[in-house]
Amino acid sequence: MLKTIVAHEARLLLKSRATVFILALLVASMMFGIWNGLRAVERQNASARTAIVDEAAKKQRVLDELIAYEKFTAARGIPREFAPVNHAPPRPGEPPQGTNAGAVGGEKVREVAVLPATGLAAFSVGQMDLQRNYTLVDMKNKFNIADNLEIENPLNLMAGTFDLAFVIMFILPIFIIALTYDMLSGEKESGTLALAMTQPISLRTFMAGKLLSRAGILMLVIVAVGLCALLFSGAALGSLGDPGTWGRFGLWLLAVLLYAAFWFGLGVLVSALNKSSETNITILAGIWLVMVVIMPTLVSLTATTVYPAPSRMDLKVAMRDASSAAEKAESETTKAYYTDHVEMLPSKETETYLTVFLARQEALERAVEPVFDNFRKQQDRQAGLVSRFQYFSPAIVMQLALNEISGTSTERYNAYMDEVFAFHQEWRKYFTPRYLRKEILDSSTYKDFPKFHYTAESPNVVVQRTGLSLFGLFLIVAAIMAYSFARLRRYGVRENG
Amino acid sequence: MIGVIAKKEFLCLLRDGRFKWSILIMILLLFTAFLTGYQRNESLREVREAAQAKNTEQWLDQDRKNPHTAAHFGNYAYKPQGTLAFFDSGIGNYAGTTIWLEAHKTNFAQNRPAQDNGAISRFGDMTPAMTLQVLLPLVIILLSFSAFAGERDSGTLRQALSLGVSNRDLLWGKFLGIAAAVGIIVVPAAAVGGAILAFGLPNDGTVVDRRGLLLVLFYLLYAVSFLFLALGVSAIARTAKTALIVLVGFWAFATFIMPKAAADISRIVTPTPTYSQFYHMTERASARGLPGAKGPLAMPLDRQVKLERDALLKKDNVPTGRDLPIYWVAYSMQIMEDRDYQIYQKFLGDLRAVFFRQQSTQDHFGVVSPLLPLRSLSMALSGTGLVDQERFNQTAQDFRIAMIRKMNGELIDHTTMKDPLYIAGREVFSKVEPYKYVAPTLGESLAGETQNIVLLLAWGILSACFAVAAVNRLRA
Repeated sequence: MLKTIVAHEARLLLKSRATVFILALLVASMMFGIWNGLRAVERQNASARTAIVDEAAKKQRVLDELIAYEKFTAARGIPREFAPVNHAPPRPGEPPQGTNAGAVGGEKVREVAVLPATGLAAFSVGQMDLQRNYTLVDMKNKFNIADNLEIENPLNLMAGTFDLAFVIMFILPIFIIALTYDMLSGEKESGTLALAMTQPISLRTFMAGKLLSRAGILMLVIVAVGLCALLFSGAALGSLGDPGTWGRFGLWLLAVLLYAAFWFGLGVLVSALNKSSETNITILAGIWLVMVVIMPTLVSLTATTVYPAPSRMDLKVAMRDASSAAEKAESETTKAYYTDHVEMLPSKETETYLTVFLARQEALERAVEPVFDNFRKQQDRQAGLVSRFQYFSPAIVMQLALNEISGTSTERYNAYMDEVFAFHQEWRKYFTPRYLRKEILDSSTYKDFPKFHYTAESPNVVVQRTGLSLFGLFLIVAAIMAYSFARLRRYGVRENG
Repeated sequence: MIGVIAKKEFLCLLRDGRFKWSILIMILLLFTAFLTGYQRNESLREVREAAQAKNTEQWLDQDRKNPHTAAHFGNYAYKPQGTLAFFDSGIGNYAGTTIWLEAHKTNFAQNRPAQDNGAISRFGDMTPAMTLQVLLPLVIILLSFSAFAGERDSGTLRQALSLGVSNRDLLWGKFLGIAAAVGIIVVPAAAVGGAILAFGLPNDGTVVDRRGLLLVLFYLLYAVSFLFLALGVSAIARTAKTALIVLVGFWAFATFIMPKAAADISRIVTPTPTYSQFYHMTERASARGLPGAKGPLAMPLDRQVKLERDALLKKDNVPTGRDLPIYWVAYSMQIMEDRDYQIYQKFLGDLRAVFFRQQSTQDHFGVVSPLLPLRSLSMALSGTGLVDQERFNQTAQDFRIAMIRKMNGELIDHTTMKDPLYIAGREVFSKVEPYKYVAPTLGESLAGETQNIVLLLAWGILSACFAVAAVNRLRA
């Protein structure tokens, strides 16, 4: 019997111009969304690529100068020398800066530490539009390195991207509401409900048939368009061969289907209340407004009021205080000269210049570290509060899950920055002792400079971060469905509730 | 007659449970938004003022040293909040707040507040502006969708018309009745806003009362547009259900879908360059010359420096740089600074043009969504828009070049090639005037907004015409 109802309903739905219009709009907005998401990822990748090419060219210039010097000395059989830091170009025969590990690792050569996009990055832009997906690492202090601004019009950042995640979180519920608000009330208002009930079926089977037909059609569309989106963006980003991409896509489907089920559940619930179509649509629109707009902004307001982020202005003030303090500890004579323009320094002084600079960077880091830590701590506290409150609104659950699944969350970015900071230490450890020993860098060692390798988060981490929330959402959906179908027993086919 | 209808409409709305709740929730949200906005804004203002004052102190109190080294230490400019940011935080969360102004380097404003708050902040801020822009229209729709269509459904429209009420009276009566109900929400909130304007803001010389008045005017125009639109649709729609679906659909389209879609479209039309592209272009121009420029800017850097050096040698009639009466190293550094300033001004100007072109593209979509022109006007008046951010960026860069000219100038004036040693202290550092941000005047804030004012006016007038036309053809 159920099968017959589902088949009839599906046929009716697909013959209704309103349904076809809704489905077409959904497909169109999903396609626009994935296109925008893909453009955002390609922009990030292009930005990183340009940086890699430019930095490689800078390194090559240093290397070329060094090789020329090596040839020059070898041809004349004279020993190579160590070049003190100097910003003026070397005269012929003079050792270039490329011989000096401090100058090379300190400012001449920078490693571009890239956070690679996941295979699903185009599905949700998340927080990746705020900062660059790469960091330029040298021997400066880590706070300056961490200022990873990516240029973007603040107006666009404020509006956010019309990506697939937006379509899922905001628009999909509206379409589901449009499909479900009059499942029973519509039949009742046109007088066909009583007629249908004269047939040997229960109201609950009837409802189940309506629900399954609608959910089935919609889910089919989502799976199909989602798969197309994956193939389209994956082909462009070259990530289809990675099994991780498919794992993430499976998780994405699960999350989206659960979220859709939640809104279908509300449709059933409202139908079970036995009110007019007009009341149903008002209730559902109200719930949408509360869940998708008001709740998230209120939770955000609470999180940022209870645990306000420290001011970056205070961080800068602390950095400058630390820098001044470190400077006061330095010898008077160095300051008399250019600490930043060593070309005019007597040679005895130039030898200490870089040592002083490096010492200052480290002193600054030690002094400012506690202030810097506060940002992460406060962010963690905010995240803790949000994760407790997320069940008030499935839209929040969804946003967190989609960013996590797409690899565009703050957590993943922070984990990446931690890797960058660790690499920063490695970079320093490589260059500082060589500089202090006044080792003359050989051109053959340039290929051995430390390289940043991003250690991707394991799939388990993603499952861990999203699993509990999705399970919570599943429980909520199950509860709504159970209650609604139980309530349908009390549904008066001929009277209003 | 109009009065009677208005009174009836008003009472009916107040007695309806749904409306009672939505009005109550709106009032609560508005109050929350006003108070948290105010509190947050005041604490930000304190932090910012303290940081800027501390910066000046740090600059003056640095150890005695060579003035050029002092310029390397440099200054920080911290972005002040707009005067009315408590009402509309605008792009505040998404624009850089700190700029390091140092020798040789032109930096961007770093540290967008949004990066320190979780992803949830991307849902938007609960500000009074957001509440009025997004939620108020929905309340207006809920209060008015059934004005005609509901009476038609229940059959009372037929009775009312049989009494000889003119269509016009009916429209204006309902308009006033619903407007009064909306007033219950808005007037207390406006009073809170007005009180903050009058007593709560530091008197920093900005004319806030005119800005406040204009804000009220534009928001009123926005609300009235939605009210007329809703009444018009209600008059045309066959049933109340249809009217509701059409209006809520339009609302979601105008307030959620359009702003995002417009931002993406504006980026497709005018792409934003990336950080690495920007520095790729500027560093290239700095070293090899600015394409399309005339004079020394078009030359490679070393050629320009050599030309200037040769000119100096010729002028002073000396054979080598070491014989020059001035300190050539400092002089050549200043040549580079001036050159880079012009080059960066060109590229930063181009970037600014991209941003404003994107904004203009987005404003064009005001034809289909009244939210877009209102949003721009609201930010401009609150001092939290693109104009204000760019004013900050530009004044900071101007401060930077002035600071460096002073410091390098000190060096050039007091040293020679034979005696380059020069140590300066507070007396020299204090020649740099502390950075001070002067907010755009009202005229400057509204300079680029003519199109938006026209659009918003058009929405008001056309929606009124639509309502009148719809009601004239009213069928029971």
